[in-house]
Amino acid sequence: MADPTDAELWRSVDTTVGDVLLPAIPDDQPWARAVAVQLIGLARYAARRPGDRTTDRVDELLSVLDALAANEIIAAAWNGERSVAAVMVATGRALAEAVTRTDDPGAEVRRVLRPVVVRHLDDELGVTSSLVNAFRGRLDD
Amino acid sequence: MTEAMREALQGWLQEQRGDSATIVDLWRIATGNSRANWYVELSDGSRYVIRVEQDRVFGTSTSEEFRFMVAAGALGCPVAPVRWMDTTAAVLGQPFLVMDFLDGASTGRDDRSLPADLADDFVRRLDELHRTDWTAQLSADVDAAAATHLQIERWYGVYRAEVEAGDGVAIPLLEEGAAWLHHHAPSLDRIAIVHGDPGPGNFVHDGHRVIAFTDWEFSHLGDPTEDWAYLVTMRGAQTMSPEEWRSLFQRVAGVHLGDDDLHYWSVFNFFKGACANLTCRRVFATTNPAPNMAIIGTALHQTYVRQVAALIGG
Repeated sequence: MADPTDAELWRSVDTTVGDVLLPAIPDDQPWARAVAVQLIGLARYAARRPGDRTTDRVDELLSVLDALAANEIIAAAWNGERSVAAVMVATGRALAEAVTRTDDPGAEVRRVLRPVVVRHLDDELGVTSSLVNAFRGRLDD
Repeated sequence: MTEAMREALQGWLQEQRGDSATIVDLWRIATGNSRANWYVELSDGSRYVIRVEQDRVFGTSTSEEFRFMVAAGALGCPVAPVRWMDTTAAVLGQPFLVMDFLDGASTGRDDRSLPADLADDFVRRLDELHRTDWTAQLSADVDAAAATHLQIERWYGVYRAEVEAGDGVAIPLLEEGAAWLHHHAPSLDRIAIVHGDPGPGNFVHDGHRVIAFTDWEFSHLGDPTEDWAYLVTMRGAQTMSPEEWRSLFQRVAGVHLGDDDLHYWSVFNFFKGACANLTCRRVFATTNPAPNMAIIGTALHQTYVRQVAALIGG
């Protein structure tokens, strides 16, 4: 028999806290009850979150930066370095500059680069949003 | 934890008070993420709330909170009397302040309801805080023209410090948010005391009237529109509709919150929240592996970043 998977271990935390420990915490211990619900939410998040998608996202941003290399905002913001940190700095600089500009380069950054960044965030929120409910004391089924 | 805390706190309180009263009751109050709030009752019947920092969560400090609470009290604003603070972290491992426990009600951590007469009084008292002449109680080396920009830089600095202490990877939408806020900052005529986190859950009341504003850790000098917008789009968003809030501000306080101001300060408040929440990610990874720290530092942080992005441009 193989060792338990991470998913099985997290399910054990979820079930044990929810079915055994939480009912045993009296109502006059609201902080402990709140933390127990949050811990269940955290366990469920840990069990179902996908792997780190940073590399794919940075590759996609690099493609956009390459495609916009002639844009003067991108040219000023990005020195061509392809590390994660450099790409995110360049992307941030470009968005920050574009937000103050009404010309074509600014519009192009907002139209082409920005939606990619926002979509990456939306993808991340698709995974983490259930944690907000747990924070507020509610658990998704 | 509680027994060790009881012993350390008891000795410290005896020193501050100059007596030998002992702690007869000590328990954590189930509210607050930036501070661990503890109810303390002494053998002579004195009752206090101890607000313990959590590794500079949200980029706020006990000393600033103490300073503003003392000033607000001296200016006649509703605030619990603050007694003492320890900024050395030698007693409880974290800075903390001690304030009087006040009898009264406070809504639960997720209850945002507000009866009509209490809402009126709350808005009236918040407006009084904004209008009070603070110059006799607080020193400030900022003028009105720079006040909002300073606040943007304050929160931008909190975000940057977390990035630099962590993986060093910038968050492009926060870079954009800071630039947008600087570019669109409205003019300000007069600097006011801004509570920074007002609304249901952050004041004690008797059912009809405000007894004390609580949770002063975000208080600062700046544009009070920040507070009004915060009520509409954040802490009070579930209490009533934006139009009901704005009508209430106008009727009770004569405050007109226009569309442009509401939009600008909503961006500011979500930006501020996104930067502040990021601190919890570090704290979770280092000194406090509590679930709320993980959730605030990830999901809530991301939610606020998304709000900034949506308000700026989709």
